[in-house]
Amino acid sequence: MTECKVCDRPRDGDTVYCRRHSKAYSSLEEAYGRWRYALGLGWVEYLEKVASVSGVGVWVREVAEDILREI
Amino acid sequence: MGEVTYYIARKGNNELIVVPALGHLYSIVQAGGGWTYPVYEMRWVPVHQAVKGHSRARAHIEAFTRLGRGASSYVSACDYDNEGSLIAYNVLKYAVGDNALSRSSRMLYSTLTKDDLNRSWENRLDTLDYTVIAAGKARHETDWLYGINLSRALTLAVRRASGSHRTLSIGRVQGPTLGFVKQREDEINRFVPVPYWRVQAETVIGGEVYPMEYEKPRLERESHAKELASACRDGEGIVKEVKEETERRLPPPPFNLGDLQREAYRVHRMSPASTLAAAEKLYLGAYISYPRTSSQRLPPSIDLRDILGKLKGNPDYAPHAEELLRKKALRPRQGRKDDPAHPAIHPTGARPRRLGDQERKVYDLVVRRFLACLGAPALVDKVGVEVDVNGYLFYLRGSVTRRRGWLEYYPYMKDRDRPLPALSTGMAVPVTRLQTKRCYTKPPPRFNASSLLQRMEQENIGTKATRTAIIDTLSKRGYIIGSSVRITDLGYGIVETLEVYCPGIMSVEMTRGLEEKLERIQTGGEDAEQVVGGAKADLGPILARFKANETPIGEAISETLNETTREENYLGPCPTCGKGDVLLNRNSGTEVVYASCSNPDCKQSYGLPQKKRIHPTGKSCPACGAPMVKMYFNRKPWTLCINAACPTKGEAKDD
Repeated sequence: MTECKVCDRPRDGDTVYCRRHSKAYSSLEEAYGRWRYALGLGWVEYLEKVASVSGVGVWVREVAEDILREI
Repeated sequence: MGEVTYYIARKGNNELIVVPALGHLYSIVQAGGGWTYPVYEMRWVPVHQAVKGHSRARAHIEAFTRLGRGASSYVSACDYDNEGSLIAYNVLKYAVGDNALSRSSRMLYSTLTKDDLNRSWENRLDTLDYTVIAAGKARHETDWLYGINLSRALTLAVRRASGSHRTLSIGRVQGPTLGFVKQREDEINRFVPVPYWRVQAETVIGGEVYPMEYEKPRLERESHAKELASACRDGEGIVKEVKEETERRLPPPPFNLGDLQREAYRVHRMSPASTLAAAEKLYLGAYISYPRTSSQRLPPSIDLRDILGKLKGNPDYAPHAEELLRKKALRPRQGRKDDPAHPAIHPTGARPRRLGDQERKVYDLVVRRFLACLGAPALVDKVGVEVDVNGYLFYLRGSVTRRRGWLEYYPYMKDRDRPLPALSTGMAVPVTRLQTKRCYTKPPPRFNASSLLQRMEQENIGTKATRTAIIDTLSKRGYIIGSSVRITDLGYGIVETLEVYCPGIMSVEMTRGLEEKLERIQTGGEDAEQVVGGAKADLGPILARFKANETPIGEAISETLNETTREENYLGPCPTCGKGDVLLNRNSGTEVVYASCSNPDCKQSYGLPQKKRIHPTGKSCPACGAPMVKMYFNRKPWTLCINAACPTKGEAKDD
């Protein structure tokens, strides 16, 4: 499979996402440390919160929802 | 003479014939044929031969030719900038003839007042301003080279990939500008809000409520916020220190064009293009100086007292002008930016008659800013009180304007006094309200026309004369949309594709470098021919790389175009087959617009009114299931079913 898991764009290198969603995934990972420090959340709870918070980027929400679907 | 009005005047023993140009009367076209790229050879031709919609230029060129034939000498009196100098040069060279150039002089002025024009006549240059002309010409030629080659490359790539023709364009400055918008959209799309907590506290002193600020504007951990709340809520603070200082708030410098456009947007939400248009009308009426200036400075040659004396005759400004005239010396606040050709925008003092709403707003901004820059600094007494609440540090802050100075002249700057009662070390201050509020960091804001213009200025791409038009072009091409500027799918697709396959086109550094060289031509620091030659040399490898990647570029952009076109033309699901989509179509031969089902096995089609803009509504007709669309008849919106055989005709006028 060569398409992004979220959209039908080509995958970026050996990731499962396209360039847009790869960058969004990196942003999600980067921000997790600050969320954990702020609220002491686990990864799944963090994704659930991020997916519904106002102001979250479209690509970030799509990636968070994609990961949550897999869990 | 025909359609052209010209003027005959006498000056001493001279008879003067004054003929207006109509903006640029000459333009660049490709020398030689072939709709391909790269194209490096060009020539200047009358603008009506090069660009549609310039038919009036022919009459002006003929007037210049006929009236110029018998003249003994010529004076270029166009606006003093690259464009003005080039307009006059081309008219003299091509319409009158090469011989005219050696008998030409140049008037230089920044306002259209009688005094300034007379002074400019007396002190005119003996020759044309050739370095300014060369700078203008080189800018047009480099912009043409980049524009024609990149636009053709894009259009041909799409045509070869998809077989369909759609004119696409991108320019030397358009590319990086679109890149800024795309970069911002990327930041927004991959933004993760992060929680933080804000402390909101109040105290009551002498029956009045005062806000207290915690020393940290945000707390990054919920547990810290809870600890603080339990320690300080209903607590009593002790004043640790009272700090007092007087802030000297300097007046702002006078406007350059960018500052004026930003201020008009901030105060009146006027677009930069509207502000420029209003400022140009005011300049042509001789009410303000030339607006396309980078300068924030008023040189000593400007008679400030004379202008104030004239403004005194206008009741709106009389008290302030009189107050300033009483000063022994007038020293305007000068900004850092300068312009070799023009001073900062300032009023001439002439009292305007019957201004339109936008001109009136811009005029008032210019006059008040001019008055403000001559005013005294404002003096604001500030108090900061440190209050310890159970080991947590809070501040009470107050400010009182002791002397309003320039603020008196410039009502567009809000200053609110927040007086504090007298407090001294050791006094008790009760915390009467305290709450911690969970907030989230916000994504960066989208550009608006003003902030995008500012970004272009900061990056030094484009010029004060072209930036507004470049933003406008991006909008007309369908690459950006809205007053809160969003990049469209088409714009996004183009930038994303070019960033991968042809990053040179999007390079801010390259555009800025070329911009700096073009600026240096004007001061003699660069040779125009070398700069244009260098631009051709830079363009070569960019176009070669483009050509090498023409297939993937064409495929990627075609895909975006197809998606965009499909979205724009989607009217709704097909009620006949239930599988396809009803799409708007145009017959390429007859140009007839109709709607049909995308399912090749379904023959459903609908005739539509011609020459009407058709807007999808996303709704289906309740009677027959065909898509409903919105159209305008005599400017009134109508929502109707597209099925002519619909049992109800499904027609309803919008309220």
